[in-house]
Amino acid sequence: MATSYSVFRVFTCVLLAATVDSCALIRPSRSIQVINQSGTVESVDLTPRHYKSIEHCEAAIAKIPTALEASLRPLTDEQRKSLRWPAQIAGFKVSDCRSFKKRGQILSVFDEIFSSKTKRIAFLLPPSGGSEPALQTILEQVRREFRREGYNPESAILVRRAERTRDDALRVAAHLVHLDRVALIVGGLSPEHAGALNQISDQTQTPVLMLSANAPLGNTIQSMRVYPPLKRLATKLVDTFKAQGVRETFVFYPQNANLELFHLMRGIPNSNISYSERTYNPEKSDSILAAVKSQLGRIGTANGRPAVLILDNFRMVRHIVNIIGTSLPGTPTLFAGNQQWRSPALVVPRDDLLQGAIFVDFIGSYRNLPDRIETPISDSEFFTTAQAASRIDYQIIGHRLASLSLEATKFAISRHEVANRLQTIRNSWDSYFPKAELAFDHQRESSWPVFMFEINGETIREL
Amino acid sequence: MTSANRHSHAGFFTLIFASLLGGILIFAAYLWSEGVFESEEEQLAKLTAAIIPDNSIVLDKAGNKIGEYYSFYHIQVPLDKIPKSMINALLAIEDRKFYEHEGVNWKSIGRAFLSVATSGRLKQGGSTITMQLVKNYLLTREKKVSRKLREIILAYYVEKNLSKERILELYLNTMYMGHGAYGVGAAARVYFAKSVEDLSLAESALLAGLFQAPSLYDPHKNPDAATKRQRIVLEALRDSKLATQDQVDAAKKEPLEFKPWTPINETVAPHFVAWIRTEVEKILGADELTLNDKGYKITTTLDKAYQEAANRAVAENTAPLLALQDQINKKPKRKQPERIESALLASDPKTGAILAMVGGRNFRESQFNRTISSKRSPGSVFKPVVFMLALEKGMTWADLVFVSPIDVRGFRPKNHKGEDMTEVTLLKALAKSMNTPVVSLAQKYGIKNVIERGRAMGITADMPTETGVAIGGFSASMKDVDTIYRTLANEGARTESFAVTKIEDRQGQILYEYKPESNPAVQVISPEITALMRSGLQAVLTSGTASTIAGMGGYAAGKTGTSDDSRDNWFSGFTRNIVATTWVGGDGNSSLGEAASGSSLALPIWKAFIETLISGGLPTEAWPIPDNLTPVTIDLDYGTPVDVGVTALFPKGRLPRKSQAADDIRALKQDNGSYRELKLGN
Repeated sequence: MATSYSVFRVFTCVLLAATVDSCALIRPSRSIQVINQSGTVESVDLTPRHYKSIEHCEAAIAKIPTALEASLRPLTDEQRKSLRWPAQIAGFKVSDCRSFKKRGQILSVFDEIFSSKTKRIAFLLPPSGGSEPALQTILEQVRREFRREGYNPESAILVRRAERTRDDALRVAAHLVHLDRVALIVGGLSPEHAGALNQISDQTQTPVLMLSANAPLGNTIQSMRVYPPLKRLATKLVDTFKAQGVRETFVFYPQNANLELFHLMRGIPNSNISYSERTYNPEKSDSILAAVKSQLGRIGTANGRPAVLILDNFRMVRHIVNIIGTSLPGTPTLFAGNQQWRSPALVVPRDDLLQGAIFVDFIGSYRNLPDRIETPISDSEFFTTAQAASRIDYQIIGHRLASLSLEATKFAISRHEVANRLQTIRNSWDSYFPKAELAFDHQRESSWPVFMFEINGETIREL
Repeated sequence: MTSANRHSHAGFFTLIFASLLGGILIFAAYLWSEGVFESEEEQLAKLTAAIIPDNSIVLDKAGNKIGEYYSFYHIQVPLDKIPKSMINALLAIEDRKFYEHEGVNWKSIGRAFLSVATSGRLKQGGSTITMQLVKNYLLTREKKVSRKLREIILAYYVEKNLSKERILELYLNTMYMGHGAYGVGAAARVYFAKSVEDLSLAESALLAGLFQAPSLYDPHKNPDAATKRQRIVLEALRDSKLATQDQVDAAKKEPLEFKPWTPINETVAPHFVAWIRTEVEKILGADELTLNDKGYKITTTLDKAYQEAANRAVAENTAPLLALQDQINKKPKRKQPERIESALLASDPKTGAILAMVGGRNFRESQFNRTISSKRSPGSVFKPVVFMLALEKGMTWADLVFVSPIDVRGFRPKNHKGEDMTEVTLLKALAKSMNTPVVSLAQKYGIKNVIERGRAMGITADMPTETGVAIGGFSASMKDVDTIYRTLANEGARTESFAVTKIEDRQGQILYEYKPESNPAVQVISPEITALMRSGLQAVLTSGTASTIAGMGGYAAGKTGTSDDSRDNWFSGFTRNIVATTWVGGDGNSSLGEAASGSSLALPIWKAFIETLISGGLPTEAWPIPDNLTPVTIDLDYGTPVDVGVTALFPKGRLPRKSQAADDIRALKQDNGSYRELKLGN
């Protein structure tokens, strides 16, 4: 079957020779990454042209079984016994590589192990929690898009829950890889889950798509992130600050806020911008007032134009600006923020203090969103309804996951092929994401559009 | 008889005659030296041309007497208004032969001399009414023969020059009757709290008994002696056939009800009357002494019915204040007792005429007029000035304002219910009397502009250029506050308050007359903005801090006010026909406690006042809506048009509509603030 499929791929490539990218995308590639004893990643090529290579066969025998066996440990004995290949690879000897026939069999077994032979994807999720509504929105979008492409979401999308422990996440992940034979896993919503996914990905060359902003990516190229582009947003903000003569930035954020954007901004080298941060309890007005008051003196005497970065929603923005404006009338403060600012309530009724304020977002005009996402337009194309705003964010993530999964598994047969394709495909099929850009950048972050908005009267305008 | 004897007899008689003549001459010289033979014309003129002291009276706008200024208490009553029973009682007990003698009753004088000769003391007076009038009016009270003779001579001349009726009238109006009262008019008021015209025979007899010795027969201090004296008068009436036995018997059976005298100055509008004196003095440049007893007729703007309603409203709501006062004074370590007071001021929105004034809850206990002389923090009753400025700048009632915790150089305004992190419509900020939005608005539009608008609308007191001014953090009089609301009630045209419309002297000559053109209405706010503001103040009643009078919201508008620590508690409101401001606070400026507020203390007084006026016919008509405005019912929290909500006026070009901004805030609050936060992970 593998042979016939290879023939089909070559045939298709010839037919579609005009579209170079298509050929490139479907070109078979069986290079897999393994971790050597010193902990560094090595690539082992399992493409047919190397079937005759004794060295690669020996390398595979020397390195792969150890990792694979480790990935089986979380499974029960019964589950392990249901698999044929552990016994097979246990019997491999380095000397077998010298036999052409045996070498072909050995590499065929490995190929079989690393191939899901399904287009099934999985979500490894924590038990229901604070993110559950968001996850359900994402899942629903993915299911919708799979269904639209002719897949049965019930069988094509597995959703598995694991406790917030690395062991349990490993157990579920191993089951997904070895028993459910999924093509890729989406997850990483807790550090434990992210660690487990990176581990199983390293061991089994399974692509994993992290949903969390701050989940660490693994060492291998199979570990990627599908999340709005915080680094780009951070860079955009810092560039604007510099252009506006900002030397000091005062950052306000609620307790338990996601500070990844701020951390990324602070990490941008040579910006010559200092940061001073204050947190507050959004439920307690005294806490907010105290946080702002503690910075008022410095804002009023800042070196250059002071910037106030508020990593909170538009409502809190208006309150904080109100406090600052009432206490420091006339200070030319540059207020800045993120997508949480995006609402007509930020600009209506007009607040003079907010004129010229900026914020970054990964959504531009709501008219330009993928048509698979239902997008009610509010008073202007830059605003949607309150009920739709958050849903749309998660639907875009779901859309991104679905389209990447579908594209990556479209012609892939093995998990490492899926991973390879995720690394190489370009945003040619989706008008919303940056055209012709690789779906993932060199840091394995999904490439998203970035928009900068400025408050202008009772509306916003894209800069 | 020998010639020698004849000579000796002649010498004796000559000596006697010479002695008599000498004695007569010496006595005549003595009388001359005592002034007995001085010109009667001059003395008489004091009576014939006498200007009998009369109180200057203060009248309400309908001509009802509401006060009087005097050094001694008089109520001048023409003779034809004095009841016959009173005159008869006087004649019976003091001078039965009044209509028969010519000023002197020699028989009575003779009896008096006889009495002195036999008993060594004067048992019977012997003076006629005319002589008593002369003694009282023209002579001193010294007991000398010369004075008595002059009394006789002058009485004779008075009778020659004045009619019996005039003599009676003078007597009845000028004789001292005790308790500072002069004349039967004043006495009737002092002892029976009624007009002399209304006296019964029994009461007239009692008053007639007082002429002889008002202190001895003082009905308040010595009712038994007074009653005994009354019996004597009644019997004298019978004996002189001026009353029948039946009438006398009936009068004796009539129970006498002595009522403690409360001067009118202390009953109808005491603080107002006291204040009017200073107003008249300002107008005429007169001092207190000349105003007293001059018989001026001072017509004022006060409406007696309104004033009575105001008095009742204050009185009915005094009990809680006294309870609060006790509570405060029981606090340990309190050095001076606190006095919790209340006051009410009402005026005509169109003219500025003061219609009612209650300067304190008990004039006898405290004459301090809190409507005029007191300067207190107006608190939230000043806020409409700021809201009006916001409306002028283009805001509408549906606009959202952010109620943020703010701190301006250490000034940390707080809201009554601790809401300092929320969003409300401009209308709700007004209706619920929130502080922080007002301070934010004032900062936004400029404190100087707020002060300028406050001055234009009626504040005459100093207002510091500080943020706290926006929420009434300064001192102003109730009169100033009333003027602000009068301006709002008068389509944005400010009038100055006034109270004196006319001053006449006792001859009817007009000394002063108010000219409306001297107090022209100054348009300080456009009628449209005023109408917008008024509709907001109606919402205060229908859905705000004054919702206990929500039922009045169709025809009344107003604002509660509570200053820091509830030291001052206000309500100022108006209908189309009246503006009224009420205040409750401690004279010592104590905090009245957390439970105290304008709505709990001042509003009930306002409510009681207006309700009484309405039951008395005050129209309850709605205001007409200017052509360019239209009423819209909105959600008080978010400002979106709804079927059931709060109605206010909006410019036709800026009607509230379904607002995405409001929806977003609502959604954000309901969703616990996680709007677009991307809650994935951790």
